[in-house]
Amino acid sequence: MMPDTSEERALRDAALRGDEHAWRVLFDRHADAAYRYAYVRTGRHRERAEEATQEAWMIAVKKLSAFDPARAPFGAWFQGILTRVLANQRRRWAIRDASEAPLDGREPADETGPGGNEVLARAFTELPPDYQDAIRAKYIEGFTMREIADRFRRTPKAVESLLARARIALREAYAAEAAQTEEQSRHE
Amino acid sequence: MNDPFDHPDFDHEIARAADLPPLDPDARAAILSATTRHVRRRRYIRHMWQAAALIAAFISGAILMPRAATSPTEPQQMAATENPIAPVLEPAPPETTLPIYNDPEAFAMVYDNATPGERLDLLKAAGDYALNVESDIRTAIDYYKLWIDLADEAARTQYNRNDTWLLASLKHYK
Repeated sequence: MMPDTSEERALRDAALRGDEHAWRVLFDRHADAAYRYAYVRTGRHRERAEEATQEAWMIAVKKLSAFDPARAPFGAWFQGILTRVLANQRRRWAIRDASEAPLDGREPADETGPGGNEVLARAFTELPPDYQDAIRAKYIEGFTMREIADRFRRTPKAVESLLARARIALREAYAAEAAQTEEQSRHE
Repeated sequence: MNDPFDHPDFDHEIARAADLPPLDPDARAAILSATTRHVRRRRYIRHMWQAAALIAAFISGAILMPRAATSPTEPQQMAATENPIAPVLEPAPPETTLPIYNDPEAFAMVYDNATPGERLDLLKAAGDYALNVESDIRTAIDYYKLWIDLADEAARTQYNRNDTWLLASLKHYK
């Protein structure tokens, strides 16, 4: 279920012509994955993740003509926008955190303390939406291969193959995140 | 750093890593609404430009036609009176009123009496109606697939700007 370049091009062109349904398909496909990406990178701060996600989607819809499916899938293109938004907002939040009085009843993050393996969580959010959906279906929702196959409208064999590819992609993303984290801690 | 992939409890690790909340439904609806407004605005602007182009064409035609009629050039005038151009009769487009798409029997009757070319137009129009008016993607897919089966190779593979996003994606899948 990797994005089809021609399908994404058709959706982009339709949305540029004002087709709301086409835009909705793009949005629904990537909304949750994009939010999770922001959620992990804001230290699991729901409000900030929503703020960043909203800003990124507004930029994406205005600059949709710049999206070229031949260069990258929509998810990767959108993630680039979201990463820049997060970087810009980090500066604002740092100023806000320093100036605002603490203890207004809201925790700075939804989960206190480290939420498990954060590097692995960040790596997970780097994956394309269909890999994330497959992993969540197996490891969180606990569906059987048959149930996942029914949901994805694929054969169990195809789902096995999808999960295998998702795990490989996750391993690669984890290695990259781990290296980046180590690099950052060396500079600090 | 310990590699969680080598951890005996990897399934648990990955479940924890992947256990992230989805976008809040209210936030999701608000973002979709705000971005869709922008998409809709594009459509209005596009229609305005089309309308402006039509008006401009009409005005320029209205200005030029009387000038052409009163032109002192004799040969043109003689040609106009001696060789009147017969009006071209376009074949009537297939019936596209709403009741046909809502009434399968009426649609079938029109379809049976249509020429092959008209049948293609009917199938495409029915698919467009199902998608754009009734938001019924499954029905739209059925009509578009019938269209694809009947259309020639050129029509099936050529990108047409008037195609809905759904038809365009099905054509590419072909």
